[in-house]
Amino acid sequence: MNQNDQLCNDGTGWLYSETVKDHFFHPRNILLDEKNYEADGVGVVGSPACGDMMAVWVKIDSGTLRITECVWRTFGCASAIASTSMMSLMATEDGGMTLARAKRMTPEAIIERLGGLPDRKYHCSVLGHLALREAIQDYEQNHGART
Amino acid sequence: MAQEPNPRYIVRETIIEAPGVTTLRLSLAKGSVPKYVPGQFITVYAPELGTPEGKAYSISSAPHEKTLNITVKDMGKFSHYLCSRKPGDEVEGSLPYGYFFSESRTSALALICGGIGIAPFRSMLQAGAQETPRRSMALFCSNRTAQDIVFKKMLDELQAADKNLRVHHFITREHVEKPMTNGRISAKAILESLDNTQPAEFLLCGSISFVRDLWRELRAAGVPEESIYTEAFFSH
Repeated sequence: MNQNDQLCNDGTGWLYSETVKDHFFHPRNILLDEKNYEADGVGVVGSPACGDMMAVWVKIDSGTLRITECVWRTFGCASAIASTSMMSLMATEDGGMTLARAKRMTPEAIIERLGGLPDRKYHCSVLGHLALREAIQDYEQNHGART
Repeated sequence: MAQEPNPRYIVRETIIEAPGVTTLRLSLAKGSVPKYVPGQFITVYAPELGTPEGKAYSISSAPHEKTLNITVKDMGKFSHYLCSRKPGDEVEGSLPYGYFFSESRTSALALICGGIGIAPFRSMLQAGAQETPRRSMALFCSNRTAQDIVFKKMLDELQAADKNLRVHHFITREHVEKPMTNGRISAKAILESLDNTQPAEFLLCGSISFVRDLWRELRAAGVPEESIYTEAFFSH
């Protein structure tokens, strides 16, 4: 959480924290074209018809079962972009999360790192971590791995 | 790629569980029920209400039961529509989905809910009673009044039948006598109530603020992030 963050967690304020704004204007690990991207696992949740869609691609170190890359693209709002950007950072920092650990990532942990989100935007933080969860499941199904 | 149409569920029965809370017992047209894991939800669609993305409802039945149940609190237009359904009505919904469940079969479970957040825990408790009766489980249930407690009779019966299950009720808006507790659930109360001889996992379900506050409290008390599962809903 950024020191200057103003928490906006009571559902009444619509001010975004500095961290949210930073991740919205400078999203980390975004993938604009997956054509030549060889992922070990892919997860897609939501649909454009419903308003939000999220796709996450991961690369996994098969020896350590850690996430080495986590890239994503969304048809979503500022909160979805910032949440997923932060999620991708958390999944890959410090040598990458183990799959077992990444499966337990929660929206609360992502929102905490963002310095808060309005309650009405909570569901936006769910999309990214659900897509990550789907990508891990895809990897486990395709590689016979189970964490 | 063409998307599969959503299944249509038939309302087989409705049950009033508490003031403003209704269980809809659902099955597919031929009486079958899709497979699910306790803790999963279905998304219910009623586009005519102006909510094309639908709304998610935790499944409150256990897989061994004959119907797939959702338990709905009447708190807005969409939930009012659901609570008004009658036996024989159709409801459009997704297949079960979600990851709100422990993958361990041995850890102690602390199930912590606010109000209607008890729905997925009914599923877990009923399934646990059948499949893992020796597993240590504790339910921490917050409600405004004792009258608001959903599934109270079933919880009393389960607890009486299973010495490994403990149910703790916290009441926030009226005075209650023991064994209920006055006030909000705290991480301290949860941690003091648990048997510390085996590793515990914590599942939180309730409003966004309820889940967020207890997630923070548990983390501050030293509970590892990976031991906490959350499921939250917008309740304003």
